[in-house]
Amino acid sequence: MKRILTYGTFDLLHWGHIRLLKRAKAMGDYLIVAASTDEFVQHKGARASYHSFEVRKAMLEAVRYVDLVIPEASWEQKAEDVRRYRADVVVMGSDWEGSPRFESLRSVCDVEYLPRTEGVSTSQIRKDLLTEAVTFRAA
Amino acid sequence: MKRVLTYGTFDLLHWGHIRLLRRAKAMGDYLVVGLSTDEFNEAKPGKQPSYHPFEVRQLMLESIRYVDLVIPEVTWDQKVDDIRRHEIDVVVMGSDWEGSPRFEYLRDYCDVVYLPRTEGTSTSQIRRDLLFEAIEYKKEAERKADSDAAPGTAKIPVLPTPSRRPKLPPPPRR
Repeated sequence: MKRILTYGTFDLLHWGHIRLLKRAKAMGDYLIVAASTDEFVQHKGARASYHSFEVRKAMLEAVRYVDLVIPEASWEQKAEDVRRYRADVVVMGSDWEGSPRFESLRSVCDVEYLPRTEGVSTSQIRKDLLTEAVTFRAA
Repeated sequence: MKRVLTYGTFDLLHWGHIRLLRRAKAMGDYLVVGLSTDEFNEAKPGKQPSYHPFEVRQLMLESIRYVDLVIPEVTWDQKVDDIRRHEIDVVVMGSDWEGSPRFEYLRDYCDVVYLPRTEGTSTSQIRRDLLFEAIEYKKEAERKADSDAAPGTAKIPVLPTPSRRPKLPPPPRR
């Protein structure tokens, strides 16, 4: 059984996330998603996610391509995750391509990058909704 | 096999949607979702156009493990046809529809059940929250730019500047 592992925040689950999960699952038989905990999101200096870890995890578990959701609490846990969950491939979006954070895993598993889905991202949705609201004429 | 049917727009898929779909599926074995087309939504007075077009909303719904089939909802009047065609045993909707004539008459054809909405989450709520967050974020960026900028330096706006605080419409009344 070929086991796939991916990492992310997966906030405000959107079409780009779903496409990534679908393509990641298609590369094997069992997909593990490591979702960043709220503390880790803060640690990364990223803006706080809209949804809490519990909600993000439950939403991921509702996606048919996802077999297991685990917490990502630190940058350093990846090699241990690959060992513990016997991952054959770590898959990430192409914005991570070449990153030492993932390249270093090639000694323990395959690493693949999938192209991001054009025109959709959580930041884009946030920007679009703001622009819509600003230009929306009163009903 | 007990077959369940629900209707909605399911835009900006959120935790409330997921909970509804999970509970609807739990009431039977096979879940059909009637998904409002863009044209159908356009015809509903006061309804804000969905962020995602029908095709994307359909693909996202189909990725949810509780959903067995997605069909288009193009008119208020297709429900009896849907019930017959898909041999539906129960129609399930959120409790905001409870008592609505649009669903009550279906009791001649199948069961009708209303499930409580999930508190504190809705597409309108997410839109409002993100807007307020963005405004705060912009204010903070401006404060920072003010303290960083040398005297006489032009300020570059981070986000579009509304001339007045924008008002989001209240949740649509059906």
